[in-house]
Amino acid sequence: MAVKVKIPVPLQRLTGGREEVEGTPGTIISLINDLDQKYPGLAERISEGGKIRRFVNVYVNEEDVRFMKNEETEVKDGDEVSIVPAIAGGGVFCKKGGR
Amino acid sequence: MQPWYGLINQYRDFLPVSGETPVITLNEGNTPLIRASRLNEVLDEEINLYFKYEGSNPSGSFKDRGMTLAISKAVEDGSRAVICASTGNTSASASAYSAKAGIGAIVLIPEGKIALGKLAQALIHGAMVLQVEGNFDDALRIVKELVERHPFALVNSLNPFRIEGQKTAAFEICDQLGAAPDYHVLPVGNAGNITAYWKGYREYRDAGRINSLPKMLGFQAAGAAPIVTGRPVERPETVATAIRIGNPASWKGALAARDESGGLIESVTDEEIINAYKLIASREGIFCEPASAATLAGVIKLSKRKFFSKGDTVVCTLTGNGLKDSDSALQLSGPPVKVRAEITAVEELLKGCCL
Repeated sequence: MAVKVKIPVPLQRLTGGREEVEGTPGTIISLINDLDQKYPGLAERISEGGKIRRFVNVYVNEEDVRFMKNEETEVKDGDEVSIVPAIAGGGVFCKKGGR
Repeated sequence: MQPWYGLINQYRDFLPVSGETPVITLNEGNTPLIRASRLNEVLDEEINLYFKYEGSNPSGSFKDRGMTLAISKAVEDGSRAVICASTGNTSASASAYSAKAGIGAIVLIPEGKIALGKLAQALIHGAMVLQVEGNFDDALRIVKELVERHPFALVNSLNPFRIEGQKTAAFEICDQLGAAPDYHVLPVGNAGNITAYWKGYREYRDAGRINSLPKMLGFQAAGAAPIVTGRPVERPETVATAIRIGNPASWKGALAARDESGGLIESVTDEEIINAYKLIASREGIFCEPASAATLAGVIKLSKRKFFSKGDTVVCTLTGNGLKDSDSALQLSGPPVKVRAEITAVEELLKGCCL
């Protein structure tokens, strides 16, 4: 088991077209930096200077990390991380009815 | 395309007007019935969901339907002024139609949360706007007593012509769908609208225009849910100002609509309302006011407990235009991000999102 990471369409060209990749447990920012080893350029798209970019949302099991510990939110094996562009049609508000 | 001259002309046979009634109209009605296409993933069931977007009426809410009739009848009866208590939409509509008719409008609004756009409408149309130091129910009580003493026409939903005009939205939905929906979902504040829709559906069936009736589903805000709890709420509180009402005028009508149709009236929280408000705007491209979103919030809630059946046709009335309450949208969205006037700076911000 690993952490499941869902990649949005604009970033799938960096993951060889994969919608979902596997990440390593730890903090969100360490997970992102770790993914960058395998998929160069990914970390720079999602974060800048160790912070999640303004127009990128990161959800852990459908919970926005901005309402948790942001970049320092811990993820473990089996968790699902979704990276979602914050733009109309990109699903910024599409988390299922607050579930 | 058929020309449209307002709902009195369109549905004259169903309305209490004669050849003598002066028709005061802003060509209200004929509002779009929009099929939802991007909400499937927030619903647990496959239903045919539609929005009846009443925000495209001339003053931006469903109130124009009742007001064209109420003001036309007031003019027919020789009234020189109309009066209403309002959380906003009624005052905006009454002011607009009074201006068109050339009569005076007196508007009593409660203190506290009033959507700024609605206040702006009443003021620019030239109504006398009085902010009462009390809530909506205080304002309504004063208005009721005033019309006992003075020759003003009351145009709150206690005015029976308001309900008569508002029922035409049900006619339009049947005309647009070619049949009655399985369910009709409404926000419930003063409860005039659910009363009116139910009347409209029944009349259309009795006239042989439709064969079935929808079940009426009403949703109140949890902080202003007297019909759900069974007793008036002294201090109603909700982000959905248009349904922040503690003692609805058409309480009995709402209960009749619920019970006769086999429907229900429940409550949704402000959090659920706000979530639905954002969903309707960001996934369907429709900007409604927060109270309108109580409908989708209710549908989401019911769909979680598998209330509907696959293929059910469900119509949600979106009662008002979101521009009336742009404060709510701005507060929820936050200010726009500032960026240096350079391509590279803009590109940097788009990374991970669009680049």
